[in-house]
Amino acid sequence: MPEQLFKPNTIGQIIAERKFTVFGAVDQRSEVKVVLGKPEKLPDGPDFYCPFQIVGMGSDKVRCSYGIDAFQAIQLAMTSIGAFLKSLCESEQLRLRWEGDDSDELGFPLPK
Amino acid sequence: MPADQIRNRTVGCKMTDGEYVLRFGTGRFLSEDPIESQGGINFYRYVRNNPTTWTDPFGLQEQQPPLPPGTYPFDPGPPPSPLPPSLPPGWDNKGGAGGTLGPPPSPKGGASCPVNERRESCEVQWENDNSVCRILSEASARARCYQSANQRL
Repeated sequence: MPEQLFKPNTIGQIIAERKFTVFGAVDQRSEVKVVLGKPEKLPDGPDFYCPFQIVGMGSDKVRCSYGIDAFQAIQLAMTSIGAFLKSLCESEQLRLRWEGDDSDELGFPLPK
Repeated sequence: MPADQIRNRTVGCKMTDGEYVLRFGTGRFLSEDPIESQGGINFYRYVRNNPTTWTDPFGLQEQQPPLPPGTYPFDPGPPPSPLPPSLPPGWDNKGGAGGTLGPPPSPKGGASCPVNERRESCEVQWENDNSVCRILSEASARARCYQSANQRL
Protein backbone atom coordinates (compact mmCIF):
# COMPACT_ATOMS: atom_id res chain seq x y z
CA MET A 1 0.00 0.00 0.00
CA PRO A 2 1.17 3.57 -0.59
CA GLU A 3 2.42 5.62 2.28
CA GLN A 4 -0.35 6.93 4.51
CA LEU A 5 -1.50 10.35 3.42
CA PHE A 6 -1.28 13.10 6.01
CA LYS A 7 -4.58 13.77 7.73
CA PRO A 8 -4.88 16.43 10.40
CA ASN A 9 -6.87 15.72 13.53
CA THR A 10 -8.17 19.25 13.81
CA ILE A 11 -9.69 21.63 11.31
CA GLY A 12 -7.12 24.34 12.03
CA GLN A 13 -7.91 27.88 11.01
CA ILE A 14 -11.50 28.14 9.80
CA ILE A 15 -11.99 30.18 6.65
CA ALA A 16 -15.67 29.50 5.95
CA GLU A 17 -18.71 28.03 7.60
CA ARG A 18 -22.26 27.32 6.43
CA LYS A 19 -25.25 26.26 8.47
CA PHE A 20 -28.22 24.30 7.20
CA THR A 21 -31.68 23.83 8.62
CA VAL A 22 -32.60 20.16 8.96
CA PHE A 23 -35.95 18.72 7.90
CA GLY A 24 -37.06 15.16 8.46
CA ALA A 25 -34.92 14.37 11.49
CA VAL A 26 -36.54 11.94 13.91
CA ASP A 27 -34.37 13.27 16.73
CA GLN A 28 -33.95 16.83 17.91
CA ARG A 29 -31.39 17.80 15.32
CA SER A 30 -32.16 21.12 13.82
CA GLU A 31 -28.88 22.22 12.35
CA VAL A 32 -26.04 20.83 10.30
CA LYS A 33 -22.86 22.81 9.86
CA VAL A 34 -20.10 22.60 7.28
CA VAL A 35 -16.75 24.03 8.22
CA LEU A 36 -13.94 24.64 5.78
CA GLY A 37 -10.39 24.95 7.05
CA LYS A 38 -7.55 26.92 5.57
CA PRO A 39 -5.58 24.94 2.98
CA GLU A 40 -2.09 24.10 4.12
CA LYS A 41 0.96 22.59 2.54
CA LEU A 42 1.47 18.90 3.25
CA PRO A 43 4.30 18.51 5.74
CA ASP A 44 5.88 15.73 3.71
CA GLY A 45 5.36 16.74 0.11
CA PRO A 46 4.80 19.55 -2.36
CA ASP A 47 0.99 19.34 -2.42
CA PHE A 48 -1.71 20.97 -0.35
CA TYR A 49 -4.60 19.73 1.74
CA CYS A 50 -7.82 21.47 2.63
CA PRO A 51 -9.59 20.17 5.73
CA PHE A 52 -13.35 20.23 6.12
CA GLN A 53 -15.85 18.97 8.63
CA ILE A 54 -19.53 18.18 8.51
CA VAL A 55 -20.98 18.59 11.97
CA GLY A 56 -24.36 17.21 12.99
CA MET A 57 -24.78 14.50 10.37
CA GLY A 58 -22.78 11.28 10.19
CA SER A 59 -19.24 11.38 11.47
CA ASP A 60 -17.88 14.69 12.71
CA LYS A 61 -14.34 13.71 11.81
CA VAL A 62 -12.07 16.03 9.89
CA ARG A 63 -11.78 15.03 6.25
CA CYS A 64 -9.36 16.40 3.70
CA SER A 65 -9.19 17.05 0.02
CA TYR A 66 -5.85 17.39 -1.70
CA GLY A 67 -4.45 19.30 -4.63
CA ILE A 68 -1.22 20.37 -6.22
CA ASP A 69 -1.95 23.89 -5.04
CA ALA A 70 -4.18 25.47 -2.45
CA PHE A 71 -6.85 26.37 -5.00
CA GLN A 72 -7.23 22.82 -6.25
CA ALA A 73 -7.45 21.60 -2.66
CA ILE A 74 -10.25 24.11 -2.02
CA GLN A 75 -12.06 23.27 -5.26
CA LEU A 76 -11.97 19.55 -4.54
CA ALA A 77 -13.00 20.15 -0.93
CA MET A 78 -16.09 21.94 -2.23
CA THR A 79 -17.11 19.01 -4.44
CA SER A 80 -16.24 16.50 -1.73
CA ILE A 81 -18.52 18.36 0.68
CA GLY A 82 -21.27 18.29 -1.94
CA ALA A 83 -20.87 14.53 -2.38
CA PHE A 84 -20.79 13.83 1.34
CA LEU A 85 -23.82 16.01 2.04
CA LYS A 86 -25.82 14.30 -0.69
CA SER A 87 -24.82 10.84 0.47
CA LEU A 88 -25.44 11.58 4.14
CA CYS A 89 -28.83 13.11 3.42
CA GLU A 90 -29.83 10.01 1.47
CA SER A 91 -28.63 7.56 4.08
CA GLU A 92 -30.13 9.46 7.01
CA GLN A 93 -33.23 10.48 5.08
CA LEU A 94 -32.79 14.12 5.87
CA ARG A 95 -33.38 17.23 3.88
CA LEU A 96 -31.23 20.28 4.34
CA ARG A 97 -31.99 23.85 3.49
CA TRP A 98 -29.65 26.75 3.23
CA GLU A 99 -31.22 30.09 4.08
CA GLY A 100 -29.58 31.68 1.09
CA ASP A 101 -31.42 29.54 -1.45
CA ASP A 102 -35.12 28.73 -1.73
CA SER A 103 -34.68 25.89 -4.22
CA ASP A 104 -33.08 23.38 -1.85
CA GLU A 105 -29.69 23.95 -3.44
CA LEU A 106 -26.98 23.72 -0.82
CA GLY A 107 -24.44 25.64 -2.85
CA PHE A 108 -21.85 22.90 -3.05
CA PRO A 109 -21.08 21.47 -6.49
CA LEU A 110 -21.05 17.74 -7.01
CA PRO A 111 -18.10 15.91 -8.60
CA LYS A 112 -18.58 15.74 -12.37
CA MET B 1 -9.98 -14.01 2.40
CA PRO B 2 -11.49 -16.51 -0.05
CA ALA B 3 -10.27 -16.13 -3.58
CA ASP B 4 -13.74 -15.33 -4.85
CA GLN B 5 -14.07 -12.46 -2.41
CA ILE B 6 -10.70 -11.12 -3.43
CA ARG B 7 -11.60 -11.34 -7.09
CA ASN B 8 -14.84 -9.55 -6.38
CA ARG B 9 -13.36 -6.64 -4.49
CA THR B 10 -14.62 -3.31 -5.64
CA VAL B 11 -12.01 -1.03 -7.12
CA GLY B 12 -14.32 1.82 -7.96
CA CYS B 13 -17.23 3.44 -6.27
CA LYS B 14 -19.82 5.78 -7.61
CA MET B 15 -22.52 6.00 -5.09
CA THR B 16 -25.20 8.22 -6.50
CA ASP B 17 -25.69 7.43 -10.18
CA GLY B 18 -24.65 3.81 -10.15
CA GLU B 19 -21.43 1.96 -9.63
CA TYR B 20 -18.64 0.52 -11.67
CA VAL B 21 -17.01 -2.58 -10.41
CA LEU B 22 -14.15 -4.59 -11.85
CA ARG B 23 -14.26 -8.33 -11.44
CA PHE B 24 -10.75 -9.64 -10.93
CA GLY B 25 -9.93 -12.80 -12.81
CA THR B 26 -12.37 -12.11 -15.60
CA GLY B 27 -10.83 -8.86 -16.85
CA ARG B 28 -14.26 -7.33 -17.18
CA PHE B 29 -16.29 -4.66 -15.50
CA LEU B 30 -19.61 -5.63 -13.98
CA SER B 31 -21.10 -2.43 -15.23
CA GLU B 32 -20.40 -0.16 -18.14
CA ASP B 33 -17.11 1.68 -18.36
CA PRO B 34 -17.59 5.20 -16.91
CA ILE B 35 -15.73 6.70 -19.86
CA GLU B 36 -17.95 4.71 -22.25
CA SER B 37 -16.78 4.54 -25.85
CA GLN B 38 -13.55 6.45 -25.14
CA GLY B 39 -12.24 3.19 -23.74
CA GLY B 40 -13.29 1.15 -26.75
CA ILE B 41 -16.52 -0.19 -28.11
CA ASN B 42 -16.69 -2.84 -25.40
CA PHE B 43 -17.80 -0.91 -22.33
CA TYR B 44 -17.01 -3.89 -20.10
CA ARG B 45 -13.44 -4.47 -21.17
CA TYR B 46 -10.63 -3.61 -18.72
CA VAL B 47 -7.24 -2.29 -19.91
CA ARG B 48 -7.39 -3.84 -23.39
CA ASN B 49 -8.10 -7.24 -21.81
CA ASN B 50 -4.45 -7.28 -20.76
CA PRO B 51 -4.32 -6.58 -17.02
CA THR B 52 -0.82 -8.09 -16.65
CA THR B 53 0.67 -5.37 -18.86
CA TRP B 54 -1.61 -2.41 -18.22
CA THR B 55 -3.25 -0.97 -15.18
CA ASP B 56 -6.09 1.46 -14.67
CA PRO B 57 -6.57 2.32 -11.02
CA PHE B 58 -9.11 5.04 -11.73
CA GLY B 59 -11.14 3.46 -14.48
CA LEU B 60 -10.50 6.41 -16.74
CA GLN B 61 -7.19 5.80 -18.52
CA GLU B 62 -5.01 2.74 -18.81
CA GLN B 63 -1.38 3.20 -17.84
CA GLN B 64 1.85 1.48 -18.76
CA PRO B 65 4.06 0.58 -17.05
CA PRO B 66 2.01 -0.02 -13.92
CA LEU B 67 2.78 1.63 -10.62
CA PRO B 68 5.60 0.00 -8.64
CA PRO B 69 4.61 -3.11 -6.65
CA GLY B 70 2.98 -2.29 -3.36
CA THR B 71 1.60 1.05 -4.50
CA TYR B 72 -1.73 -0.06 -5.88
CA PRO B 73 -4.80 1.39 -4.24
CA PHE B 74 -6.16 -2.12 -3.96
CA ASP B 75 -4.87 -5.58 -3.15
CA PRO B 76 -4.70 -7.51 -6.41
CA GLY B 77 -4.91 -10.79 -4.52
CA PRO B 78 -3.64 -14.09 -5.88
CA PRO B 79 -2.97 -14.57 -9.58
CA PRO B 80 -6.23 -14.62 -11.50
CA SER B 81 -7.57 -17.91 -12.69
CA PRO B 82 -7.80 -18.41 -16.45
CA LEU B 83 -10.87 -17.12 -18.17
CA PRO B 84 -13.54 -19.76 -18.49
CA PRO B 85 -14.13 -20.83 -22.08
CA SER B 86 -17.62 -19.44 -21.82
CA LEU B 87 -19.46 -17.49 -19.22
CA PRO B 88 -21.33 -19.64 -16.70
CA PRO B 89 -25.11 -19.95 -16.93
CA GLY B 90 -26.84 -16.82 -15.81
CA TRP B 91 -24.00 -14.52 -16.80
CA ASP B 92 -23.79 -12.31 -19.81
CA ASN B 93 -21.53 -9.59 -21.15
CA LYS B 94 -23.64 -6.94 -19.54
CA GLY B 95 -22.68 -7.91 -16.01
CA GLY B 96 -25.77 -10.00 -15.55
CA ALA B 97 -26.51 -11.62 -12.26
CA GLY B 98 -27.05 -15.12 -11.02
CA GLY B 99 -23.79 -16.73 -12.06
CA THR B 100 -21.44 -18.80 -10.00
CA LEU B 101 -18.42 -16.47 -9.98
CA GLY B 102 -19.56 -14.50 -6.96
CA PRO B 103 -22.40 -12.47 -5.56
CA PRO B 104 -24.55 -10.78 -8.19
CA PRO B 105 -23.86 -7.17 -8.99
CA SER B 106 -26.32 -4.76 -7.53
CA PRO B 107 -28.72 -3.07 -9.93
CA LYS B 108 -27.72 0.36 -11.12
CA GLY B 109 -28.35 2.85 -8.36
CA GLY B 110 -29.30 0.08 -5.98
CA ALA B 111 -27.52 -1.19 -2.94
CA SER B 112 -26.45 -4.70 -2.06
CA CYS B 113 -25.30 -3.59 1.38
CA PRO B 114 -26.33 -0.81 3.75
CA VAL B 115 -25.81 2.68 2.37
CA ASN B 116 -23.63 3.64 5.31
CA GLU B 117 -21.33 0.71 4.66
CA ARG B 118 -21.05 1.62 1.00
CA ARG B 119 -20.29 5.23 1.85
CA GLU B 120 -17.58 4.22 4.30
CA SER B 121 -15.96 1.85 1.82
CA CYS B 122 -16.05 4.54 -0.84
CA GLU B 123 -14.52 7.00 1.58
CA VAL B 124 -11.69 4.57 2.31
CA GLN B 125 -11.22 4.09 -1.42
CA TRP B 126 -11.16 7.87 -1.90
CA GLU B 127 -8.45 8.21 0.76
CA ASN B 128 -6.44 5.38 -0.78
CA ASP B 129 -6.73 6.97 -4.22
CA ASN B 130 -5.46 10.27 -2.84
CA SER B 131 -2.54 8.42 -1.25
CA VAL B 132 -1.61 7.00 -4.62
CA CYS B 133 -1.86 10.40 -6.30
CA ARG B 134 0.81 11.95 -4.14
CA ILE B 135 3.50 9.50 -5.31
CA LEU B 136 3.19 10.59 -8.92
CA SER B 137 6.17 12.69 -9.90
CA GLU B 138 4.55 15.01 -12.46
CA ALA B 139 2.46 17.80 -10.99
CA SER B 140 0.02 17.64 -13.90
CA ALA B 141 -0.46 13.92 -13.34
CA ARG B 142 -1.05 14.48 -9.64
CA ALA B 143 -3.57 17.21 -10.40
CA ARG B 144 -5.51 14.90 -12.73
CA CYS B 145 -5.24 12.10 -10.22
CA TYR B 146 -6.68 14.16 -7.36
CA GLN B 147 -9.46 15.29 -9.68
CA SER B 148 -10.17 11.75 -10.76
CA ALA B 149 -10.23 10.47 -7.20
CA ASN B 150 -12.78 13.12 -6.35
CA GLN B 151 -14.94 12.28 -9.34
CA ARG B 152 -15.23 8.74 -8.08
CA LEU B 153 -16.36 9.80 -4.64
